[in-house]
Amino acid sequence: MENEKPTRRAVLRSSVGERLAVPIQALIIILLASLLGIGSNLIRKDRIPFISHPSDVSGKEKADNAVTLAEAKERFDSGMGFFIDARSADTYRKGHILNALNLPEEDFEARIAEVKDLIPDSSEFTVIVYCDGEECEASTKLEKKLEGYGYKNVRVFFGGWNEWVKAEYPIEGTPE
Amino acid sequence: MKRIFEHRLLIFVLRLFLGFVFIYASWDKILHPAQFAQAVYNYKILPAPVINLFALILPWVELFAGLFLILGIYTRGSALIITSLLFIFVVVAVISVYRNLDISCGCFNTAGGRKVGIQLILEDSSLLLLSFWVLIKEKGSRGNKMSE
Repeated sequence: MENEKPTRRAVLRSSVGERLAVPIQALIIILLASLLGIGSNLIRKDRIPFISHPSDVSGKEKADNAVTLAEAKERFDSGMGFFIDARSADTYRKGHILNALNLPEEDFEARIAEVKDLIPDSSEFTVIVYCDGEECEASTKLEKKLEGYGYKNVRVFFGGWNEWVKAEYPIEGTPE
Repeated sequence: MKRIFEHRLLIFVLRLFLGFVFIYASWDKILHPAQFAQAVYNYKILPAPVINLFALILPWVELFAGLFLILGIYTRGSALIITSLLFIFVVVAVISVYRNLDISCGCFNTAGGRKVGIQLILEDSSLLLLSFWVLIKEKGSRGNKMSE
């Protein structure tokens, strides 16, 4: 008798499994999700290792389009590198690699026309894009956009601003 | 009576809304676990060895919590999970902004797009308030019976 009462407005009301304590309910959901998450990874073609190694994830993008800190500095010193800061205008104003041009990745379409003549497009000059450091994505995105625009000699300095500052190489603005 | 009904209706609508947001959020991550793992890695919070496992399980937790919240299965348990997750998301976003990380959030789309920033913190905080409301107001059949 008592059990039938609540079913009248069942649509607006939760009904199944509510007798269990709330944390137990949550735990059951998490267990179910773990089973399916792990199970689906066992059978799918593009499965990923269950235990990740740092190199699996972080090393992925360090392909031949990258320049190391030493390479970046060498091109900076020889004047054969053209540095582009892919971060926002605000961040750029606070501090950037000396003589770097600011071209925020998200403003690429709007800004490229006015700066395109400043950016060298030749095999001698390397265009080096950077953002904060390894974990930011603006530099790789900007690299792709520049290449899409026609620039052929573009590289990413993954160490970025953080590594440059740490090495105490020439900057404009403040190190933070 | 009408007010109670309206109140119930409101909670029901909130359940639907939050449920769909979480199901939608889970989908792309379930399809692209490697990209989602990279997004998790970029936050630099979890130790590297557990990132893949986390990236495999979290989307399914989001999916089930969202689905169950809509269907009314373990409703309060689902609401507890969604509220806790949103709380964690807000904390992590605040930490990332504080640490000045320039990263994609990996919230709805693993291919990039959304940046972690103030806007994301505000959005997640609003969702957190809504889901907390559901958690405390949704009584489930057990609670209802006691009140009737």
